[in-house]
Formats: sequence, C-alpha cells, structure tokens
Amino acid sequence: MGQVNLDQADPHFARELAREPGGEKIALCFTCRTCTASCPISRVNEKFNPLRIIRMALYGLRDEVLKSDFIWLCSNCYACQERCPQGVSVAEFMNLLRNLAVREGQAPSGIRAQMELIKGQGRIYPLDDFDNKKRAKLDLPSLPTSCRVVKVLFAEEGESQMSPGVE
Amino acid sequence: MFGNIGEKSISHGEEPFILMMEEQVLKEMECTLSRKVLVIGRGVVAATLADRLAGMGYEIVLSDSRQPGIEPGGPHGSADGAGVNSHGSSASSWKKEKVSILSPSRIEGFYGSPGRFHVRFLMEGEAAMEEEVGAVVLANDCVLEPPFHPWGLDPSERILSLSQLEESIRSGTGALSLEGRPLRTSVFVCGFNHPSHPASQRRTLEAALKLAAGAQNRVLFLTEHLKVADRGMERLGRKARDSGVLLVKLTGTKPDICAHGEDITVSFFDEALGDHVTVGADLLVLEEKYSPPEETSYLAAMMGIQLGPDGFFQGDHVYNRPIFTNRTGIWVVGCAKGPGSVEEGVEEAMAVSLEVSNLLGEGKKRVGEDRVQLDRRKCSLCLTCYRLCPHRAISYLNRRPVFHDLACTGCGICAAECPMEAIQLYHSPDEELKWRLQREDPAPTEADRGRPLRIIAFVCENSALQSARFAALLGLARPSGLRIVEVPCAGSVDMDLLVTAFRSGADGVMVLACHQESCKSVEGSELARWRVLTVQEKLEEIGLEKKRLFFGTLAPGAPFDFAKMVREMEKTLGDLDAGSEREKASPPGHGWVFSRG
Repeated sequence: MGQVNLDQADPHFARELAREPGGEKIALCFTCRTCTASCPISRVNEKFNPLRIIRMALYGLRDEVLKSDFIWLCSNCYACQERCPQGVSVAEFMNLLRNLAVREGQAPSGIRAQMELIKGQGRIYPLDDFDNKKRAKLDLPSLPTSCRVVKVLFAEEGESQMSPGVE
Repeated sequence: MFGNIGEKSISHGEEPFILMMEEQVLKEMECTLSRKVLVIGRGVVAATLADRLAGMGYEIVLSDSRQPGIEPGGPHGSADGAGVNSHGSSASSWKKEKVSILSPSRIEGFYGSPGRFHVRFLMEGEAAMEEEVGAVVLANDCVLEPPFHPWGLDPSERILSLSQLEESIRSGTGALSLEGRPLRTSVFVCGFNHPSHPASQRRTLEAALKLAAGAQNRVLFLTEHLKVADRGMERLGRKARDSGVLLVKLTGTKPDICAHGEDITVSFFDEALGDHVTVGADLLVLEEKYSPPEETSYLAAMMGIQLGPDGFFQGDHVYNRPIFTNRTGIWVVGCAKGPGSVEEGVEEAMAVSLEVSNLLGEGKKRVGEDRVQLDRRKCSLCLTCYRLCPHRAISYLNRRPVFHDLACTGCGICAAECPMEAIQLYHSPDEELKWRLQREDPAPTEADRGRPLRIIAFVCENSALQSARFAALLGLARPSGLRIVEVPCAGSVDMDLLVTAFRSGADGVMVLACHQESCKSVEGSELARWRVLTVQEKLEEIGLEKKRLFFGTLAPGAPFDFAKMVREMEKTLGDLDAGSEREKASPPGHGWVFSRG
C-alpha cells in the first residue's frame, strides 16, 4: 500500500461494522498479533494477516478492505477467534466483510462463478449424462443433473443479491 | 524465622563481660514532642492532608512559596479547582484555629530532630517567623513542562497542551468550543520525547473519550505503550477504544508533526499495518512532562533529603517505601515524589496522617537513651559523625553530639568513622565484637596445622545475613571454617575491626554489604568498600596478600551468590597457601555458625 492517507478514509466505517454481528468488539483490538501468529494463511504469506484487515477497518479504509483478497483466503479455521485475548470475533469478522463485499459487488470473479454454478445447477461441479453413464457402468445409481430446490431458494433470496457489479 | 540454625557461639556463665552486656536494659526516658505539623504545598493533596490531621487533633502550618489557590485541573487540582484556597474559605471543613496558612513563604532555616524540628519562615514584608514542629510533610505540586518546544511546534488555537484542553473542556469556553467548531480529526500524543506516565495517560484518555463522544469525530491516540498497570486503566482503555478512540502504538519510531498555518499534518509508521500513515488534524493535544516542584533541590539540601535521579523528593531506592524519605519525621506525598494522580496523592495523604500520629501520638514518647553511647572524654568535636549521619540523627548541643533516638536507625556509621572511637553502638559495641573474635580461635600454633581455613565474614543484616540464612536453609555447601559476624550495616565495620579479625587468626576476612544503590544507610556500603580498600593497601605494606580481604555486595534474597562468594574465597585462600602445609580445601561442613544464633 505504501502511503495511507486517512483524510480519504471513512471515519464511520468502524462504527458501522461494530453494529453488525461479528463486528461488535473489533475496536478492542490492541494489536497483540496473536491472531496473525495463529493464522495458517499468514504462515504462507505474511502480508495476508487478520490484524492488518482489522487495522484497516478501524482506520476506515473501506475500499481496501472490501477489495482485499485476504477475506476470501480465510479458511475459517477459527484459531484466531479462539485465541484472541480481547474476545474479538476475528473469523466472524472476516465473514461479515465477505457478506459486505458481496453486497457491494466486490466479490472476486472466482467466487461469483461458483455462485452462478450453484444457482444454476445446485452444485459447484456440474453433472451431466456423461457422468451418469460412467456411474451406470460401475453399478452406481444415477444422480440428478440439476437441483430445482436450490434454484428456488436463490430465486427467493432475490436476484439482486447475485447480480455482479462487474462480470 | 529460621529457628535455631547452628550453635550459639557464646556460652553463658563463662565470661562475665558478655553476661553483663546482655543483661543491661536500654534506659528509656520520656520526651515531649511537638504536635504541630508542617505541610508544604497548596493543592488538593496538601489541603486534604491538613484537613485530616487537624481532625486528628494536630495543629498545621501550611507553607508554600506561591500564593494559595491553584490552577484547577491537571495533577494538582480536582475538577472543581479545590485546593488550599477554597478549603481556607469554608470554615466548617477547615477548623480554622488549627491551621495557619503561611503563603507565600520561604523556608529559610531548618534544623532539629523528629518531634522537634525548628523551622524559620520568611514572608514578604514581614519579619522572620520561627516554629517548632513535630513532623514535616512535603506535598508540593510538581511542574508541568510545556510540551511544544520538544516537538518543534508553537502553541496555537489548535495545538494545545493536555492541561489547556482539560481547562477548555471544563470551562466550556476559551480557545476550544466543542459545539461551535467542527472537529473531524483530533490527535492526542503522549510520550516519545519523555517516558509517558500512567497518570497522564489516564487524563489523556478521559479527555479523548469526551471528544470521541461526538459521532462526527475521529480521535487518534499516539503513544509508545498504553500503560495499563495502573488502577482502572485497563477498563478505561477498553472504554476509550470501544467509544471510537483509535490507539496507535509506536514502539520504534516517533510520529512526525508539521504545522503550516492552519494545517497540522501528523505522519507515522503504523506497525500493525506495515505502512506509513498520514492524517490531517483539526486538533493536536500534547502531553506535558511532569517535573519536580521548583523548590525541590533547595528544600532537599536544607532538610537533608535524598533526591531521586529525576530530581523528585525520593531516592531511587529499594528501601524507600512510597511516602517515606531517608529522614524519620519527614514524609513526601503526591506529585512531590513523582508523577501521579490526585487520587493517589490523597490516599497517600491518608497514609501519612497515620504515620504522623504514630510518631507524634499525644505528644509524649518513650525513647531509648543509650542506643548510641558516647564517651565524652574521647570526643574531639570534629563534627565527623554529624556530617556523615545519613539520617541526620546527630546534632550538637552544649559542645557535645546528641543522638536522636527517633531518627537513629542504629546503622553504626558514626561509630565506625569516629576517629577517636568515642562512639559505640549499644547493641554491637566494638569491645564485644573484638572479644568474640579473639575468643573464637586464638592465634594459630603448631597444633593448628591441617585445620580448615578460617574465614571471618562480616555480614550486613539487611542483605548478606538474609542470604546467608537462606543458604543455610537450603543446605548449600560452605567452607567449614567460615564464621559469620552480623553487623547492622556494613558501614559500621571499622578498619580496626578488620585488623582485629586478622590478628585473631583469620586466614581471610570478608565484608558483605548491600548493593551501593540499595544501602539503607545511603552511604554505608560505599564507606565499607572504601575502608576495605584502605586496609588492603596496609596489608600489602606489611607483607600480607590483598586478596585475604574481600569486599562484595549482594541482595537479601541471594543464597547462591552468598555461597559462591564464600566458596571462592576459600579457594583463593587455598591458592595463596599453596605449598604450605595447611590443609587447602576442607570437606563441606554441616551446620552454619552464626555468632548470635
């Protein structure tokens, strides 16, 4: 990031997040870095760590946070949340940010593609007759190639939830 | 506490001299003490203390170099600006006839002993006044140094010191009007140019909280560390952060602050973010450094009070409990002894009031008359004892030294330094020590060949003795020829005694004292070391090895240090005797011999 100018940041972002479930206690963070030390993603790349996201959120750097890759890389192992001495719900905070990112159309394309598949087929990996023929050869029962129920679910959620800002 | 470790080296019934000493009871007499207390200061702490003491029946003299009435807020005042001034005006809470306020006044002279201090005051346009007081409490207000220069900034409407902001918030007027002026970003800075103190961080957090309460504000708090190890600080820190105060910890770098006209720019390297951050501030609040009260060095010199390394009224000393100074009868509370909050100062004032009543009581006290014994025939009025006493317990009256029992701690420095040997400590006179040493082992003879190396260790009661007892308890190996002689302070071991130890047949002599900066008698450890160096030179002159006399310092809870020192001494002595027919290393002995059991 290099230089960060807080004058461009949104001072209300932190308070806004504090009102959402999962964000209640983020202001209590005192940068002890226990979460970072526990994070399996941080072990691979130090630049991806929960503390940084929380810090950016508290500073009000809304765009950087919602565009960040890290919130999607989080494996939801909950080690950070278990160990946080201040009781910050770190993992849930990441989920909160994910939801916010989707709402504002910031989700990465890969995620969006997955969501389309689920909406269309009911699965991330599409099945068709070719797969069913192979299953029959092994005496396995065939599986439905589409899932109507999931389609209905998504339809009820509202199409707007799924419409991507940028394809 | 450890029970009877080792044998007592005195057997009763043999030597009438010792028996006589032990049976002698310290003479006591009753003396009258003044029930007046001098309180120096004019803030809330001084006023509270005066109130409390007056309520307990003592008379108070309040003195300060400035006019009564204080700047409200800050570490000196309370929210409503209360202090000596406001107290003085409400007669009901003040018991006026008990309290006399001499402000502004200057203390021109001070002498005497606990219970009978003589103070001379000088007030503008009036003749000097003299008062006799029983006790003194230093409750002056410290100075808050303006913070602007160290940052290279000038004060302005938007760049304030913490005290200025507090005043502004309290009065709701002045340079800062929170309603009328849009405050997008406020930045508080604590520390960096000086170590920040929890008391001042507390004030900062409370002020920041008030500013963060407005939903439009962003409040940043920059500091090196948030010092939460103070009462209520953890909770306050959480509350502040919960309310939107953003804490920025900068442990390795300093923030950079530039002010051009109306614009204030603060930049720093956020360690959590790993990036440089810049922000424009609408308000910048700087913490002040707490400095000692103005008249500190003057009063300290006059009263013989030790100052700490930062110039406040209390030496940086293991034995200095919070409100005590090195002199009995003189206490220090509040910001006079270091940065602190008003609440702490008031609590200390309560504690001091108990100490004062302990000392002065109803005005009569039984004191021991012979704790320090003087042989007048030998005294040459050289004033050495008077100059050296770390507790100022010696004064001169009618051409002879007078030892004040209430102030004397029995350290023995005067006795050791007296060039005429005119002074003896009642409980540990030289005669007794010398007799004991000589009785132990007379000068070695042919028959002594093969006996273990004899080491005599003079151990200070305050440190080495505790470590020795601890070592005995742990069963650590020790040289079998070690004899321990307890002394009240290493400073009480004079050179004569060291020489006597050698003459009594010791192969080696040790003096084990407290660390120099922890000496209860301030200079005792250093004096002991100096004497050891002098005697070492003499030993060399007469052909004995310097190494036979050892000086070491240690802490009270250091049994392993003690054991190591004595074992190494044995080894050193063994090497010195190499080639002679003396037994070099003796098998470790069991049971430690203490000269007083």
